[in-house]
Parts: sequence; C-alpha cells; structure tokens
Amino acid sequence: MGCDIFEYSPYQTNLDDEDTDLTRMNLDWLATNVPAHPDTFAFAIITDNHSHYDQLASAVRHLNTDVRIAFVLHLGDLSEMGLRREYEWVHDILKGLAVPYLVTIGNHDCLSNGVRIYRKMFGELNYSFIFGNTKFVLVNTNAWEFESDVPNYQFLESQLADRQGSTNLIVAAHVPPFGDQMSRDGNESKYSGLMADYGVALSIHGHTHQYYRGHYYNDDVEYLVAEDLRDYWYYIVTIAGDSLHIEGITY
Amino acid sequence: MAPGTARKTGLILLLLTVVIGLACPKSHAKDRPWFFPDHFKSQYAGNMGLVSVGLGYSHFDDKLHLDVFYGYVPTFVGGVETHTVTTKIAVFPINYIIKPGHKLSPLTFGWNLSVIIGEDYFFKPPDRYPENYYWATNFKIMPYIGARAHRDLSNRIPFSGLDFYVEIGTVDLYLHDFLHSKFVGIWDILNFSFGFGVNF
Repeated sequence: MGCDIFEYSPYQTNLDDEDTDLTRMNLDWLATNVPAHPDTFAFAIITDNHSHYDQLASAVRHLNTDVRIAFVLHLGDLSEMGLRREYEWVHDILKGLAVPYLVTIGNHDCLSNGVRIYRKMFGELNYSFIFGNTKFVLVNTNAWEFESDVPNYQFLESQLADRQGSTNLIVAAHVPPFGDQMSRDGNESKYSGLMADYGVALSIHGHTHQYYRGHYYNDDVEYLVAEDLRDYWYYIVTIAGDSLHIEGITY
Repeated sequence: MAPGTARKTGLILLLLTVVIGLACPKSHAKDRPWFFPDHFKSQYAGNMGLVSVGLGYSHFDDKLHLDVFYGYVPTFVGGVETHTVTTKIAVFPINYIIKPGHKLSPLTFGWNLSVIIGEDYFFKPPDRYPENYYWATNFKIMPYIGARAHRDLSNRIPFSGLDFYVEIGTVDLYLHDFLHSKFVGIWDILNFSFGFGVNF
C-alpha cells in the first residue's frame, strides 16, 4: 500500500495517477468481458463497508471464487469520513477483484473533500452502462449532502427514457427512496414515480444497513436494500432474459 | 464512541491545552509581560500543513511546550488548499545535558489538535441531520512521539536558544482503523515531520 513518509493534511485530495479515472477503466475492462449469452449473466452487490477493511478484503476473496460474476457493484459508503487515505485503502482492496468494480457514491463518501476525491478517483457521480441485455443507471441520491440538484432527475429520466435496446433497466443508488436523505422535497415520490413510469425492473440500494426486498410501492418495481458488508453479506443477481434471481450470501 | 462523545473529547482536550497554557508556571521568568510567548516554532509536514508556524510557551523547566500553529497547504501540493489551526502539546520527560548549553530529549510525546477552516468541514452537522448522524469532520487529534535537540544561546540577544525536533505521528481515524483491522498496518498510518524552535 502507498504510504507517504510526509503527509501535509488528512484532507488532501491528490492521488497517484493509477488511482484515478477508475470508473472509465473498469467500464473499458467490462466491455471486453462480453457474456457468452447476452441474456444470461450475473453480478455481485456489496455496500457500506465504512471502516471495515477486513470484512471488505474477505468479501473480495469470496467473490473471486465465484466464476459466475461479471462485475461487482459497490453501493457506497466505502469510507467513513471521506478522507483520501480511506479511499486509497478501499481501492487497494477492491483492485484485488478478479472482475471490474463500479461504485455509486455514499453519503459518508461526501464528507470533507470526499466528493472531490470521488470525482478524481472514480469519475462522474451519475452514469450508466449497458451489459448483456440490461442497462444500469447509477445515480447519486445523497440529497442532504448537496445544496441542490440531487438526485439529478434530468439525468435519471433521460437515461431511463432511452433504453438503448436493453431488455432490463436496473438502477443503483446509495440511499433508497424510502431512506432518510430522500424523505424531503418530494424526492421519494419523484424517484419511485420514475422507476414505475419507465418500467425499471430493480432498484438497488444500501445506506440503511437493513435488508429489504420487495415491491415497496406496490407497483412492478422491485427494491433491494443490501445488508452492509460489516455483517458479512453480499448479493448475487442473476439475469436470464427478463427474469431476475437475487441471492443473498453470507460468508 | 458516539459522535457526540468524540466532539466532547475534542473540546475537553482543547480546553485542557488552554488551561495548561494559562495556569501553569512558565519556565523563563523574564522582564516581560506574562503573556509574551517563549518561543517561535516552524514545522514541516505532520498533517498540520506543508509548513506551519506557531508561537507558544514553555513550562515546568522546559519539560512541556504548548503552541498554537497556523498551517497551510497550497493546491498544487495537496490537491486542495487547506488552512489549519493546531494546538500542540509537547512533553519532554527525559533530558540529557550533553555538554553545557546542549540538551538532548531522546523521547518526547504529545498530541496535535488540528482544526481545519472552511465551509466543507463541520463540528456539528447542519440542522437537517438527526443527532449523532456524523462525527465532527473539522478537527483531528494527532498523537505523536519524537525527539528534540536544544542549544542555549544564552547571551545572544534576541534569541536565548534553538530547538530542533523530529516526530512520528498518526491521525485519530488512522489509529482507529489500525486497531480495528488487520488490513491497515502500522506503516500505513505513520508519518514523519520535523521542525525548529527559536527561544526568545
């Protein structure tokens, strides 16, 4: 691991070049892993490791033994205080994954200069990609951490409206619509309304540290809130055509 | 520890520093006002700035120093510009007189309580958050150990002595992560710094 002999501030945001632009690098890597059958693939979900580095490392070891997984989604709160050292330690662990990993920003990752570090290390806070027959839209739902425009509904709606030929739409965001930071300014109804209007199959979240799976708003949209990593949980989502199979794995 | 308790700990340490500074007998009784500082210091690194400068007091026959530093990191060094105010406690329990006027303190210790200035950092999160939602983000407690060499310049006005010191330190959160995980090793959390002092 990188250790600077001299450190000028724990709030520093400068990173080694190899620790920057990781979302683009991981998406490039993912693009080379075309599934044998585009309608059938699996990915893993991890979330909320905070300061629990050993649990994150052991999750990586377990995930690397599962040959089904095409990529790993980390749903945020990869740090406790949004500090550079934390970001670096987490990437040092996650770069040991045998597959690409993609991240949504968590509210803790926004603390101090966390957003600046996130942008340098990973890139955009809202982005999308297509894998197999599914379009993934990753959005920042940490509404309390920003003055305005979070969530960015213009981005979200434009991404949902253009399926780009995909069978399934999956949205991933740190705070679920029924979570605290989405509870004001009509965010809950705006978000859940968009999910229903555009036929999103699955909306995946972390943040609450409590497992939930179900049709929270009694519509066709399934919501999954993943249990946090510190309790030794991750999830495997298997897609076959338009059917989704979700498996919670404790290790 | 709950975030509220951590906030109180920070305040108590700060208060303790100020009380020691004002209440304890100073080392050098001289013909100058009681509040006049005993020394100027400047430090490189140590999570107090690229460079920091401070003024402070010497107590208990020069076995305890108390300083307040201002530290700066420019954007081209830290990625972001930072301004910090740090209170530094330094204890010199062991002092060897190498030869007259030359003193070596082979093991020193203390802590820096560093507060960062700016809108991106808070002591208590804004009102929209419930109680104990976050730890304070605007201060860090940074313990260290080190060593010091001192030389008297007794008759050379205006300076009566010079200090040179080195320190190995860490940050409260890093220490927590080291103690709570096998992944974070001791060399991942330590950093070095050095500085000098000019005694008035």
